[in-house]
Amino acid sequence: MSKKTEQIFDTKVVTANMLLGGNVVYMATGSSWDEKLANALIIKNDDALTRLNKVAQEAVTSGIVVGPYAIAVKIGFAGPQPLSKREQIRATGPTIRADYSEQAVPNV
Amino acid sequence: MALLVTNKVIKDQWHILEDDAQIDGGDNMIVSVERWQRDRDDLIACNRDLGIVLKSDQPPNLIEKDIQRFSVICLEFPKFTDGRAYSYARLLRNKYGFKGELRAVGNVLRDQLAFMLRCGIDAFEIADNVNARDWSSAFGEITVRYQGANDIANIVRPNIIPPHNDVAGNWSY
Amino acid sequence: MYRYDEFDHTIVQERVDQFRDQVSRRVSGELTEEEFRPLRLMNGLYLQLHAYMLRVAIPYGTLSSKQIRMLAHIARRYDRGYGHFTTRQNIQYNWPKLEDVPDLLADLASVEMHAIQTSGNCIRNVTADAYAGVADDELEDSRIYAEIIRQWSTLHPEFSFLPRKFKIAVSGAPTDRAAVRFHDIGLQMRQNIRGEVGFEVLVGGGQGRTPIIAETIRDFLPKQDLLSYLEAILRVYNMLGRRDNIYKARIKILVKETGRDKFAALVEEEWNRIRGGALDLHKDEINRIRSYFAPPLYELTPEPDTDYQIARRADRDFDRWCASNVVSNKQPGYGIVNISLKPAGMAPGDATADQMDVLADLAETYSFDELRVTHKQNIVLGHVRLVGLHALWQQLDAAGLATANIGLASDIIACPGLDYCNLANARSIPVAQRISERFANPDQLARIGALRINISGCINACGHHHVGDIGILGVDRRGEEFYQITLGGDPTENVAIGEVIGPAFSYDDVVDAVETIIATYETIRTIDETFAQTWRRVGVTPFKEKLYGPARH
Ligand code: SF4
Repeated sequence: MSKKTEQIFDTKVVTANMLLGGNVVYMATGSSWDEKLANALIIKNDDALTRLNKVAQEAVTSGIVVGPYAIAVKIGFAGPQPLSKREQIRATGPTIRADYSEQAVPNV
Repeated sequence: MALLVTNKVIKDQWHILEDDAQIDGGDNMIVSVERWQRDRDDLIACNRDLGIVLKSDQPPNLIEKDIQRFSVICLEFPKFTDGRAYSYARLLRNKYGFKGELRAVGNVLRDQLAFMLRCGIDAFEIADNVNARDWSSAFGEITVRYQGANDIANIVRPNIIPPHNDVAGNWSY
Repeated sequence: MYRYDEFDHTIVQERVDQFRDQVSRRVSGELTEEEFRPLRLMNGLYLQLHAYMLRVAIPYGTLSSKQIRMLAHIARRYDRGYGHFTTRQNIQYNWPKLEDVPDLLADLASVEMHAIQTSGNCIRNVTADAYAGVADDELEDSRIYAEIIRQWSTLHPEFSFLPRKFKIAVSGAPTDRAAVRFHDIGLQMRQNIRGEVGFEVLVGGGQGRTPIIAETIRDFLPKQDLLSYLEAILRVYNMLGRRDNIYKARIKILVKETGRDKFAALVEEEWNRIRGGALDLHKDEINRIRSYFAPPLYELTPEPDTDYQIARRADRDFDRWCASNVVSNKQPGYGIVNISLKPAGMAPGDATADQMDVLADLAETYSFDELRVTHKQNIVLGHVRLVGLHALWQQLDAAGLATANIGLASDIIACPGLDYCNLANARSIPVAQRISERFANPDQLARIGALRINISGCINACGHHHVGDIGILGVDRRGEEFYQITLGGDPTENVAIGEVIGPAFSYDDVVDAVETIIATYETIRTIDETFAQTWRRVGVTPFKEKLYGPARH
C-alpha cells in the first residue's frame, strides 16, 4: 500500500440519525449536524476522532441525535465519499428509484 | 432501594442475607437458592420469616417442596429482555399456589410493571428516586385485557366473559 | 372480516396514548435511547439506514377498503407517498418522523389498525392463507383461528419478553399457502377419523441463519384446546429457550437441542396441567368470531359468463392475465384475483398511495370491500365475479397493476435489503428489478412457468431465499456486494430447503447467473415440467456445470 492510500484510508467523518426526524446527518462545524455529507467535518487523526466522538456523545445525551459513529471516507472531487456501499447508500438514499432518494422532495 | 406495593412506595422490611454471612437470627432474611440448599435445616431452625431469590435461570421447581416456607419470593429480572420470571411468577401462583409476596427485583422498568402485575407479581423493587405516582400510573395505562393471567381470575376475554360482566372493574363491552 | 368492538377500540386507543407518552418522555430526556428502544420496537418502530421505519400490522393480511385508504393517507401525510408490503403480510413505511408517529398511530386506530407487536421478542402478527375463506380446498377459514390467536397474544403479559421473536401461521387447506413448516408454530387444519376438524401442531420451523423445517409435535389438537396448547408451548419456550446467543434463541434451536419427543413431552405435561381451564375455547366463541368471516352475499343465480369468455378470446393480454393471476373461488361464477405488485423494474411489494386508493375503490366495486396481502407481497381480491373481470382488469391496467406474472419468474420476493435495512449485507430490490426487467416478456414468462425467485439482503432471510426455487442471498465480501445462490427450496407441503450451488456472484454477474440457471432448466426440462420438478429429477449437477464449468475430477 502506498503512503497516499494509507492516508486516505484514515480519513473519517462522524454520522448519526436525528432523534426526532430519524434523518441521516453528519457532524459539521460548530458541533452542528448537517444532512449534507459535503459539509461534514473531516477527521484526519485520532485526537480529532476522540474529540468529535465526545461531542457526538453529548449530542446523544441532550437528545439531538441517536447512534453516532465514525465512517471511513476518501476525499474526492466532490468532497468526502464513504468507502463502504452501506454508507454510500446512507448518504445518497435508496438506489431503487430516483424519487425515493434523500434529495427527493418528500411527497406530502 | 425502595419497594412499590399497591401503588405506594414503602420501606423494605427485608434484608438480604449474603451467602457467606452468619445466620444472624434476625427477622426477615432473604437468602439465595444456593444458601437455602446448603443451610436449609439451620435456616428452618431459626424459625423466622424467610424469603428467597430466584435468579432468572432458577425456575421454581428448584424449591418446589419448600415454597410454602417462604413469605417472600424475589424474582430477578437481570435485564428487561430476560422474561423468564414472568413464567416463574405464573407457575408460583397457579401451579404451586404461592400466596405470599412475589417481588420483582433487578432491572425493573416502569413500562413493564403492568405485565409483571398481571403475572402475579405484587411488589416491585425500584430506585429510591423514582416518582411513585408516575410509576403507579403505569398500571392503569391499558385497562382492558384480551387474555387472563393472574390479575383477573384467569379469564380469557373472548370465550368466557359475558358482556357487562364487570370482573375487574373495567370490563364492559 | 373482523370488526372491532368497543373492547378492541379501547385497547388500541390506550396503546396509542401510552406510546404518545413514551415518545414525549423520550423527547424530554426522561428516557434514554436504550430505555426507549424496546418501547418503540414494541410498537413496530425501527431506526433503519436512512430514517425511522414503521411496521403496521395487517392481521392475517386482511384489509377493508377503508383501511387501505387510510394506509394511502398515511403514505401521503407522514411518508413519501408509498408503502412496502412485506412477506409477513404487513406494511412498512420507510420515512416517518418520530414526532409524527403518535398522530400516525391515532389515524390508524381510527380504522382499527395498529403497530402493536410488529417487532420485539413477542408473538408477532399471525399469518394465514391468503386464499382463506375462498379456496376450494380448505377445511375451514384459517382467519377465524388467526383472529382468536391474535386476541389471545395481544399484549400478553407473560410472553412479551421471549428469548426471540415468535411467528405463528395457520393453514386451513392441505395445499400450504401459509408456509406453516417455516414458522415457530405452524397450525395445519386436519380432520380426525371422527370427522372433527382440529390442528396438526408443528413447531420449530424457521429460516434465518439456520433454516429448519418444523416438526409435528401433535397430530391432532381439538379446537377447544388451541389456546391452552399454545400457552403450554410458549411457557416451555419462555423458560427454556436460549438467551445467551441471539442466533440460537429461536424455538427451532430449543426443539433441536432438546429433541422433538422430549420437547413435545414437556409441552404435554404443562398442557395437561392447564387444559380444560380458563383457556378452553368454547364453541360459542368460535362461532362468534366465525360470524365475522361469513362468506359475502354472493350472487347465486348463475349469470352466463359469455362476456368473460368472449373477452378472453378477444384480448390476448387479458387472457394471459386471467391464466396467471386468477384462480377459482369455491363459489361458482367467482374468481380469486391476484394483483401483482411486481411490475417489471419496480420494487417488489411497493405500492404508491394512489395505487392503494385504486385498490380500495376496486375492492369496493368488485370484491365486497375486502383485500388481502399475500406473503408473496401481492394483493388478493377474493370474491370477484367473473362477469366483472374484464372491467376490473382494465382499471387495474390503467393504474399499472395488471402485471400478469403471479407465480412466474418475475413474481420475485425481495426484502428491503441494503437500500433500507440496517442489517443488510447487500441490496435485494435492485437485483429483483434487474431480474424482472430481464424476464419482462410475457411469452417467455409463460414458457418458463412456475418459478419462485426469492432474494434476501442478509442471512436473516426476510426475503425467504431458503425456500425459493432460486434463492439469492446477499453476502459481504470485503465491503463488496456478493450473492450466493441456492436451488430447490420449497415452502409448501413439498417442503425443502435450498441447496447452495457454489461460490457467490458479484452484483454485476448475479442476474446473468440467474439467466443461465433458467436457460439450463429450459434445455433439460421435459414438456410441462416445472422448475421444481426438473430440479427434483436432475439435481444440482447440470446447473453447476453450466455456471462454473465441468467439475475437475
Ligand atoms: S433479510 Fe436481512 S437485509 Fe433483508 S430485510 Fe431482513 S434483515 Fe434486512
